[in-house]
Amino acid sequence: MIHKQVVNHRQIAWLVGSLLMTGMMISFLRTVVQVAKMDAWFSQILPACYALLVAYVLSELVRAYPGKNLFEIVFIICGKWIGGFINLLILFYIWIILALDIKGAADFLHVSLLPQTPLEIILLVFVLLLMYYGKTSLEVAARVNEIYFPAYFIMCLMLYFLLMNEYSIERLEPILSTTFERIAVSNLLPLGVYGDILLFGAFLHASSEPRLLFAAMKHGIMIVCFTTTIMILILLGVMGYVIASRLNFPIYILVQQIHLTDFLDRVEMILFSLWFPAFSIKVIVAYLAFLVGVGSFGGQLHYNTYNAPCGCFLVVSTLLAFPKVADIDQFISYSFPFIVILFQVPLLLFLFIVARRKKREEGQTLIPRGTKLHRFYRMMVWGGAISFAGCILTILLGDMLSDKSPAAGIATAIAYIIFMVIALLASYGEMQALNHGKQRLGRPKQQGNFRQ
Amino acid sequence: MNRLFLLLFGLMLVCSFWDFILKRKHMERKQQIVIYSLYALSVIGIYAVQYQHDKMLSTGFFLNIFTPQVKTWIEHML
Repeated sequence: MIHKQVVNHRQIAWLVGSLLMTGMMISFLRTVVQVAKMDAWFSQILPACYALLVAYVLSELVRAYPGKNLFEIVFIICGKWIGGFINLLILFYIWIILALDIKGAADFLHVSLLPQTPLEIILLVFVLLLMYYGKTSLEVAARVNEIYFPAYFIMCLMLYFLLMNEYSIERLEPILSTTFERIAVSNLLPLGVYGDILLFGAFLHASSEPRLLFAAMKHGIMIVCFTTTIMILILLGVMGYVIASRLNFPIYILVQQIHLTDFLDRVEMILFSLWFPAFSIKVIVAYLAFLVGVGSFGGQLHYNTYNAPCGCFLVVSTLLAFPKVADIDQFISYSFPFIVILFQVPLLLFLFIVARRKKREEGQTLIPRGTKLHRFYRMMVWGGAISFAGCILTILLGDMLSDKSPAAGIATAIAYIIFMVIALLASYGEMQALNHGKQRLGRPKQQGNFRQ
Repeated sequence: MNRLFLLLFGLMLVCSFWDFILKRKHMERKQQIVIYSLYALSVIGIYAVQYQHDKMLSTGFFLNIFTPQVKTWIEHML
């Protein structure tokens, strides 16, 4: 069954934002703070680099195999049996993401908000929500995400102003005083969460413009990198690393610290009501990717028929997985990055080599050379790359060369934040320039014509 | 296991399986095998959860099998 659908560049960027950012907010940040202490807010740069590499490989696959998703590409390259085995591994990886998120959210709701409701019921209701969206497609999830993600993003940034009365910069100091090894390890731990971007492989057939897809994913990754850095900065500034590293749900407790006035109580409920839909969209995207994967085995392009059996399977399997809350935290912090490196890196390397070797027709460039738009585009690309490299260099130089004085630390922190903001703005400029180029070429609706 | 959950999940499983039985003639054989496998896994899973067979073969242990090694490696590095 063929469906015509449209997922534009902004929706892709915001979906990437939801996908990577919301999962981290339950309990993951605790381990990062435990490792890197007051310098935990430098922990997002290496995972963002990794996510950019994954996005680049996915865009190369779109260029080499237009109109095909990751599962189809693996079947084409490796054949029925080996391809089937690799696709089973990808399905298992997606199941891990689903089990982590569904069980993590159910445990969080059970412990913090609904202590009288049985865990199984919370889990069942959540899977029913997934099954409802499973009848639709990525387009619906992307449109719902367009409502909630901007509000969630703004609320995350507003946390600083809402918690200004509790914030103390002294809790962050001395900046970059922890060892380089600790900062490096804290950069490895979020690899598991950032590896979730591979889920977009299941929707590669949605895109016909690889360069725009990469730019959109890059912008999404930069949003996540920037926002998570700010969130950790606020968490550390309000609580300090000692308290933050001992809390099961640090962000939830952080939001509970908002005391604006005496009559405005429980502001965390407002933030929670924005976080939960954005988080649900993340799980919905993972569920849709799971359905696409299962569908590739059944030889059906239309995956609705698998919705009910997959829902039943998910309810049972997530009940079996991660029996204790501590298991989830341990897995996401230690095993998950290891699994991502072990599984994703060889797979993506193999797919990248195959995609580069495959002869393909060079399509028309989105932005003609020599134009003003092209100059702007080049400036944004190089500006973003230099700023991103500047972030890494700032950490290296700050850690190695600074005399560990408070003034040098603050100067390093300011430089790091400025570079990150420039990289975020440049990624937006790059995405917009490519989109304008596409509009001028008169191919506005080609992207997103894909099968469900 | 919560009885209300068992009732609701059982109903969901039976209704969706009945729906599949009615529609299976229009489906390809490959597709039918995939759906049968998913239902079989669900039934085995709910049996294991209900009669606590998961306590003997802990899934939490298998999923976290790398955790102690990675944790030790990190502690060694730091």
